[in-house]
Amino acid sequence: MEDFVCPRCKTTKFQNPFLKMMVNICGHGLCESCVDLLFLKGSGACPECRIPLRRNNFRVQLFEDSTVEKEVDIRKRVLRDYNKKEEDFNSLREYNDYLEEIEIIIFNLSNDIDIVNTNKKIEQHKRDNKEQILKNKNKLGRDEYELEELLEMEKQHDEARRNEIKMEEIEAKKRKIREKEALIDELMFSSSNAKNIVETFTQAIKESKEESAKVPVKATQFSTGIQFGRQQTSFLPIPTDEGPLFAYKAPIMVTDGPKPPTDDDIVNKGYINHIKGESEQDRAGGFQSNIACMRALQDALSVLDTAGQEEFSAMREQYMRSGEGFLLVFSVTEKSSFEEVFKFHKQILRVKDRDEFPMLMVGNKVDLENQRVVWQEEAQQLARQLKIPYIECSAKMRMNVDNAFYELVRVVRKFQQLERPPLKPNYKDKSKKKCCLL
Amino acid sequence: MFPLSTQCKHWMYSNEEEINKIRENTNLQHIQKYGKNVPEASKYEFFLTPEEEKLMVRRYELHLRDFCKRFQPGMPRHVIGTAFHYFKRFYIYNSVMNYHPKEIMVTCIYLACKVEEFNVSIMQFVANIKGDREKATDIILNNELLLMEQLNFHLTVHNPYRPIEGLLIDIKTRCALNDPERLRPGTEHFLERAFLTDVVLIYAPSQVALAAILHAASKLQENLDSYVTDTLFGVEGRGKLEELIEAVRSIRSMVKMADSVPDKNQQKMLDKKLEKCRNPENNPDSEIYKKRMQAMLDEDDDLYTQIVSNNESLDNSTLNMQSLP
Repeated sequence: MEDFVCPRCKTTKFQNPFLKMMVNICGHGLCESCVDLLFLKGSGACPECRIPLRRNNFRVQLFEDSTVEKEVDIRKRVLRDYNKKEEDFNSLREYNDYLEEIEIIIFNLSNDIDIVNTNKKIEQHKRDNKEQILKNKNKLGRDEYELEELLEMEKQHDEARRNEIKMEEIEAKKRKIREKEALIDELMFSSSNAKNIVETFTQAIKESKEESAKVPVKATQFSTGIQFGRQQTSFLPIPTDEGPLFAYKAPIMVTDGPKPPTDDDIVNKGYINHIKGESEQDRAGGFQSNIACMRALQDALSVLDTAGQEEFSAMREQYMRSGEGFLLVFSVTEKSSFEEVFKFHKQILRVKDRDEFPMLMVGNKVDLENQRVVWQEEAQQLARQLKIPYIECSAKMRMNVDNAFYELVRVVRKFQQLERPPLKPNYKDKSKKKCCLL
Repeated sequence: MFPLSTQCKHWMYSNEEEINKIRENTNLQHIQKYGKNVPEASKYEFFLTPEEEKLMVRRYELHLRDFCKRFQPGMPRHVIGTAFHYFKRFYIYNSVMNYHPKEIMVTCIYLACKVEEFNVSIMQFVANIKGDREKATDIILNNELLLMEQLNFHLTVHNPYRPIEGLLIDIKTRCALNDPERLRPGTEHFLERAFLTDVVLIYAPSQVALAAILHAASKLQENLDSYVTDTLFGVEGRGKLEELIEAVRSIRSMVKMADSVPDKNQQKMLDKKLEKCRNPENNPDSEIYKKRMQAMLDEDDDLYTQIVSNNESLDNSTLNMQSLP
């Protein structure tokens, strides 16, 4: 390709690096600028063999030998009409004869043997098989399209691989630097023998190299998708689902008020008539007017009857925030109060943002022995689980009440001592606040 | 669903006294923290009393309402409602003397715009503010995180506006009232005044909405009692009716109190007093505040330069790599 010379203007590839050789059906080359010049009108004669040519039949020359180029051109033209496939024949023999015939025609045409008769033969064939040629043409188009797609995919694959290799190289460079730095650090600060350190480092590097060399990636596929080498199976893997499948659960509506109408009621009882209908755009966005209607009704009816039920809940966390220690008191005659202890414990730890905090579990009303439902063993078990002390008392009999408070204060003190380490005498108050807003 | 919301769990109080008690406590804590040099007997000559703080908050609630009404582009009412909620919640646990209501007010509105998806940029927003807009931008953006923190990041607010729509739909469907749309102006007026009281911190949005509807109906000399007792609650809900009627009655009486107009002279006096006793650490005009901000900026710069120099040294070592064996 390097020593292309335009036969007319004698320009070479060396003189003009952008030289583009064009070729027409006769196979004689011309450079692009000469084509522009000679075929201004759209048609003209070849300067070498004087065959009349059309300008839009020119294409870029691919082969050096003009006879090859000519042959390619002819082959292309002939195959456009002789496009039968093996499936179109009854036996292999017939198909082979057909291919032979094609080759003879192409040879004749490209070597100028018996052109008149050959062309006649082609015309005859065209006329006889008009329908089938057309059908096969369409099929061919599809095949070509698929091929193109495959090529495109391959290109992308290549690109990704190149990127990967680049990244790997950079990573390797970085790793090298890191290793070197680590070695230098070790040499600088370690007190052991320098020789040993160097040895262990080289050993480590060698090992890591061996490891990385172990897994060569084997190619198992040609670009056309044909697989080679020993393959396990060519079936698609059976999809395995991980974990349980999603199952829809209808949300539980809490209203604390009169029951809102059901979805059917909204339409049947005429609620829907009193609100704006949905437009086409609304529906496209997944909006339905009965949803909006339902929501308004639910909001209107919820909490109509039970205001102030949880009176203390808003205050509770506020109290918890300022408390230094807590008594978790429950009644031994009331199972539900015992169950609350666990919740309170959790809430306090959350508010305080600690894993433990001074707390004391107190079982009250132990004087009511015959009504008792929470037993000592049960309570102690929970106390152990929560890692807090347990005490039983009776407010009515003034039994253990003071002790409960003393015990709590003791726990609080112990906790605070652990929290605040004793001040050193020359402790300098350096309270520079670190704050970084991102 | 309101019963499961953070509003219901954390920002509902049983009555006005409870809220006032917390406010008094907040006031006391502020004075204890910053008034160590002020003698106990004369502390209220220098600091604001809880009552005065309440008046200030009340006044800025009026400002908030007017600001939102004038706001360009026009602001949907649920944004205003949410801003009111934020403002009220903030000053339950924070003193007026610590953070000036003027600044918190605009921050509340800005945050409400974001949360309620009323999309305005900060530039558009400050275009509604008279005076130094750059400074206002700084104040709003600096306070935004503080505000959210003080709200415990409970940003979802249930306003009484949707329940109103629900009740109107229900009335239209199940009650023979002549043209329920007539109730609208009355309910809107009622809700506007309700937001100037503590009603929304005590009662559920649906109850406030019902009170508004009943109030509007009575103004038009209509009677919706049978709707409430028979239709709304039906047979099984009879027992709960009493509570609801009581709630509606007290909402209406609380809202009636909202009409008092604050005294101009007293306002001016309070302004002056606040200017003296407000916490300089949070006043953008004070030297301490400026110094603090500068220090924070410097620290950021230090951090930045350190990162840059680190990167540079790393780059250099990479470049020298080829010469190493």
